[in-house]
Amino acid sequence: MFRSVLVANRGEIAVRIIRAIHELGAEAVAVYSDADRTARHVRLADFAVRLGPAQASLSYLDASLVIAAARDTGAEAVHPGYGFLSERGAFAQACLDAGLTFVGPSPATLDATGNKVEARRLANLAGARLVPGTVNPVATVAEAIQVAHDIGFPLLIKAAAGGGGKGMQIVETNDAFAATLASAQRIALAAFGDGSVYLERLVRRPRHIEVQIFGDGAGDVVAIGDRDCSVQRRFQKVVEEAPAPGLTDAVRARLATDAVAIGKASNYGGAGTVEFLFDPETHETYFLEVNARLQVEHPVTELVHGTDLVHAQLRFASGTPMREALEASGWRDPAIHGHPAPLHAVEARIGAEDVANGWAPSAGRIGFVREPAGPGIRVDSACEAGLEVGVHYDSLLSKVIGWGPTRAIAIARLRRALDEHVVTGIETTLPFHRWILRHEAFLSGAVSTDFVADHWKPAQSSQEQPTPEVTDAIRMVSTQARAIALQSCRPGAAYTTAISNWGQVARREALRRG
Amino acid sequence: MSVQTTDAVFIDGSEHALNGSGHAPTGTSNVLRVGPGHWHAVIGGRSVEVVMEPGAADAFADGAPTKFHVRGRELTVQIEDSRARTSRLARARVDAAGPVSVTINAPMPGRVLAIAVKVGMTVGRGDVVAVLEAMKMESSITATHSGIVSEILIEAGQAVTTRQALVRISG
Repeated sequence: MFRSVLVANRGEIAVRIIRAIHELGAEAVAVYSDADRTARHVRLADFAVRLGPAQASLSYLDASLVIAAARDTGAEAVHPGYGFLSERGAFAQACLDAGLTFVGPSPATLDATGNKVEARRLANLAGARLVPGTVNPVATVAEAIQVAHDIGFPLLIKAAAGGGGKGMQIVETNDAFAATLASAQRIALAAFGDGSVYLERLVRRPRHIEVQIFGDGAGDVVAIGDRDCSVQRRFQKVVEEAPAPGLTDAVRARLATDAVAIGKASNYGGAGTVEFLFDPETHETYFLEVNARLQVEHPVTELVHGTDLVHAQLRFASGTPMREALEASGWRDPAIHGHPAPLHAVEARIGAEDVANGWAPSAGRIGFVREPAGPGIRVDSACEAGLEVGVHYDSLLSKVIGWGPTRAIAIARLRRALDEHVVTGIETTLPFHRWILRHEAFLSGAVSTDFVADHWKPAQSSQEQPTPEVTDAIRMVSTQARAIALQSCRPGAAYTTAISNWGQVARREALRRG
Repeated sequence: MSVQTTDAVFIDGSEHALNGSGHAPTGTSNVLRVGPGHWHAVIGGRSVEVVMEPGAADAFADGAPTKFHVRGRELTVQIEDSRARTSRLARARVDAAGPVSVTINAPMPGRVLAIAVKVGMTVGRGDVVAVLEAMKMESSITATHSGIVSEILIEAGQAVTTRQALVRISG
């Protein structure tokens, strides 16, 4: 095992990776921007290196700063997490050139899978089906209009260098095409420095199903189950689960076979994910893309398969043979040991977004936070009271995962956990998650990527009238809270600094009434 | 004091008497403060935990809405004393006469990607007036009232803060 590993990330994923590094007896190096000086990942690490200002391009996205931090602290390896530099072949190569181990696939694999056009070519070679669309990026507007006409509407415009749904847009009609194309190219250029896009047919109400793979970089690839990530909002996943519910054995087997074949075709080394669209009408599966990194939703696979994927990544990167690294991390080869007793896990991505207001990003200082615990609950989080949630990075705050022997038990636990979960000071997606975990269609497994568009109306999250005791409690608490505020402005009042806000109330009240 | 008897609390928009004899809970009840903004009530044997937003005290003072977290729900709570009620009713009379002008404010901090209107343009409620970028997402800012754009208070590319006025619309 490595002696020291640098984690080139922030937030919940940096915390999760630092924990794995510590569990394997190594030291962790955190990097941070000025916005994250006191963040949890920085405090948990053994070394901490400032990269630069809050802006990601001047800190977490600056490869040379990250590599210098690794060199200065004597780290032997760099774990990129997800997002930021994780899928950049040039960064992986720069790590290798600096004598550092990159915890992830080879630069060549990253270049191949990271470019959607190349990934589609590989998938095609591996025998996986593709959604009808362009194989090469579309260069000119005139060409795009011609191609769009050939594919037919509705269609999707995707950034060739994008990921995680960023810069992806639906066009319903020919009339809207030119304007949407211009917007997609502008976003792609700003976000990825590459404005090229490709077009593909939109499959109506598909499910998004993906397969976790792990490869040795020399042609041996195993599949570690599937996940359903259909519940999305503007192509951002919000609920994920493992295994994907309600698939026939034939579909499940085909997905695994295709994923392994694509992994082999790209000489995949380490942990990765192959994403597919599943058409519930026809039972067709279509290759979508390869995510050549640890996924946000990796915990549901870890819980269902008893495998610590980050342990496996670190072991494999430090030289342990792939299957040995996986087995040391809890994995049992079903080809040898058979299938273990089934388990199910469901993850809620808690984001700093105002679900009642168009999911607008919500910034501010977290006041009170109580995260859930108890049987069958895992929380991956960097959320704490006092945390300043800014607008510089992705809105993900934490992930809460419920798991158990059946889907119903996993959902019941997650629902219970999210009812206990409290975050004040910012808006979060908790009301949405509490709603969906009670929605009949979700409970029956009838999910699709249109679930949110089809079913979610913000008012639904609070349709029910509060019960009489809740109303009474609010009346009484409000009365007392105000009474304390009045009391605290008298000389010699018991409440002082801890409730200084109440003092302000009292002063205002006194002015008003005086 | 007469002010006390007419105070009300609005819970998700429904009015309840704040104190006085209106809806006295049955059975024994008690309320304790657990910590800052964190309370617990036992009402007729039922246990209810209440967590308030950090700004709740200021909100109460201003008669502004705040949010309570109760049993896995987020409820809007607004205290209104008799003075606030008087001014609310007065405001309602002014509003009924038609708004003179309103500003469309930024709902969150971000950067202005585009301004979709020009001074003198007629906009309808729900029309996009500007596009902001925050947390790598684009958000369309829409008009809350119909009217004529009388002033644009921002420039494309500019950073804006929460509640910063973007555009003024005259009714």
